[in-house]
Amino acid sequence: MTAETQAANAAAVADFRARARWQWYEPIFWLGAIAWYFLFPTYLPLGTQVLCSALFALSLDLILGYGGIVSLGHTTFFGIGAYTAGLLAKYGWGEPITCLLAGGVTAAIAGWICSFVIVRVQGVALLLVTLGINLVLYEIANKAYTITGGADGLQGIVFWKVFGVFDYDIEGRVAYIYTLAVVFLLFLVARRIVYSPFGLALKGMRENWKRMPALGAALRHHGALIFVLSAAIAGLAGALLAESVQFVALDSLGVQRSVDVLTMLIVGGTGVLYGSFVGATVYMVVRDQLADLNPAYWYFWIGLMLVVVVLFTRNGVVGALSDAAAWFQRRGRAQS
Amino acid sequence: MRKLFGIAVVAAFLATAGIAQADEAPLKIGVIMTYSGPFATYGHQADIGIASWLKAHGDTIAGRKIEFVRKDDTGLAPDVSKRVTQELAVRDKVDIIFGGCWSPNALASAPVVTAARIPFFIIVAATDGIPQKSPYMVRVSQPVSVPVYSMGKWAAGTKGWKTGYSAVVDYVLGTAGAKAFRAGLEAGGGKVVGEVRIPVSNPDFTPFVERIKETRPQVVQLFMPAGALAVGFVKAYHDIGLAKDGINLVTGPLSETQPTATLGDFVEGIYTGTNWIDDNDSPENQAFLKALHETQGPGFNPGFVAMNIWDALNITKAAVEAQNGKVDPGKTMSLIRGHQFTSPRGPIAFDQNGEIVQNVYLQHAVKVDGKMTMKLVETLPMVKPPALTQ
Repeated sequence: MTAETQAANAAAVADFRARARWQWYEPIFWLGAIAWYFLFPTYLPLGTQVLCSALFALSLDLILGYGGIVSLGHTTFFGIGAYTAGLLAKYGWGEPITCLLAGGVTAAIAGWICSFVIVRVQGVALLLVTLGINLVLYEIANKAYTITGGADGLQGIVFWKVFGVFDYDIEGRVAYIYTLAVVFLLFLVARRIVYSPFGLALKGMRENWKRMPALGAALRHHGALIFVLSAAIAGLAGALLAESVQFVALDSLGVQRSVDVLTMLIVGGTGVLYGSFVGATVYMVVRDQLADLNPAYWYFWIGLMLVVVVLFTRNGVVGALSDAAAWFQRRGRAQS
Repeated sequence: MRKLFGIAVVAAFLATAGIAQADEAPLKIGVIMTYSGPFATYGHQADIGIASWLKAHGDTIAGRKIEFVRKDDTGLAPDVSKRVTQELAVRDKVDIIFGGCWSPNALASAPVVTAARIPFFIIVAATDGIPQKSPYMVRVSQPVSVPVYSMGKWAAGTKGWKTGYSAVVDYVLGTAGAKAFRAGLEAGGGKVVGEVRIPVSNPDFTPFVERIKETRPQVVQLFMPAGALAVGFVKAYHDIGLAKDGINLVTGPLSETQPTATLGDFVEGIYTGTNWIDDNDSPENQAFLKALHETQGPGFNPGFVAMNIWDALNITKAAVEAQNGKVDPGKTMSLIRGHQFTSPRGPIAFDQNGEIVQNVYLQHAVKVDGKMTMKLVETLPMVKPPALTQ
């Protein structure tokens, strides 16, 4: 190896390190999630569901925001994860962590099977294929009521105590802490993926999928890999929600959930890790507060919020925040 | 944030209200219904029921002002239902909950009300066996199996129609309906000779009805959601002329808010089994209709959700007054379970599991002086939920 290539390699490694460095706002964000526990003790069930949705949105962000793969049927994997955990608990194995992992594994297997189709289509066709797979699975779950309980939902689910010690309580404390811990670990995994050379290749795919093969990138391989990873995380999110709710029903496979999660991601911002978290928090907290004010007409305000966010921000709430930060920096520099 | 805001609001309120607030805490009732989306009509009906009841009975029970905390379950969403039940218990600290718009929602809420010890009235959900899931649940709606089982037993036992055919919608409630009908028919000495499951999205019933015609059963059970599906089937039954071949049809209500008699001539000859004749002239029903028409205008068609809310409030009033304004969860349940009440539908009672026991009214659509009328042919009194093997 010549000195020049060595220097170039070192520069590349340094570049990746620099990208992956923790930013000042990241600890603040996670401390905020811990602070929620103390500040809003009566909002823990909402917080738990925000975290599950955020994790689900994060899984969608990996394929949509980074890989450029649009999906209207991502709840397929969410539902598979939820039903796997639920069925295990129903038939006698309710250990939360193994149920969670099982949900992730089955969703990943389903994702791997689907990936053969997914990597061969783009654009509108992709929307329809993902939606189609979801609709088929929904109908199967609806018809196979002897296994899934159909429209009645899966009855008789009992999850054991977390680590055999902490029982799910009515205030939702255990569920919140457990969910936050799992979500944080999976966030670290997603962060590692995104800032790796593989993550960079994904961004290239998103920006120009015709150009990438010319650079020698194995497009289909990358696409399939991120799809499987994303499906696994979606499945984990589904299993997490099933564990905190202790119930699984057909809505976990419903198109509405795919649309909701896409909305959250767009509100928050795509292709920026925190977009899914900000989007899920904004969407669900706003929805909760509006529904409390008027349970019948809150959809109007949600719709209005979506229009405003899409019209006036570059990339959701996170995009608007980073634009604002850049503006302040520029102004600060101009003054000094 | 909301907490700070809430504290500010409470402070402002106390400053203006002074100490006048001190005497009786309000009676808080949480209402979990579907207020948004395609099934928002359930929430709307619930609000109509509440408004009518308040109009007729005033807004206090045993000196406590009733305060409703409304929550949207957004449709079939057990996760949302469970969360808002937790919130009603932990944050709003309600005394009683009305909810269970969907069976999965009610089932997901059951462990929460058990842990929080809050009496919970199931207003809509119909899946068999839900109130058994919690010692604090009672059902004011109707379990699937009750009317279907009793219609089957009546068809074979009283009418002597020994061969039956099930036409049910192809999802889990439909199979429960077919099972209950089979059990009822067999209890009456008949047997089911055929069964068909019809997809929910099916617009054309002709092939199914033709197949039934070839089998020539004496009675067909129709189990479908009220509305376009059920009406469509009855139209096909009429057009193909099954009645002429001596094939009778028994069904639940064809429409939730429209009396069967106004549907048209094609309903002639069918039998319906229902827990409520919405224009019956009992004083309770007339009081309900009067309050309904006062708040919604004359000619307003009552719906069963409004009536179920009306009943839930009546039972709440009786139980809370018996405790002099207190709501002890165990005491409340012992005042309801095993006791009888009057309802616009007739007498209702609750068994020790919290399941409702009520009349089933069998009506026959016949023409009187050229006008379609629903003639009451038999009242099956106080039907208990049948013990069905799973």
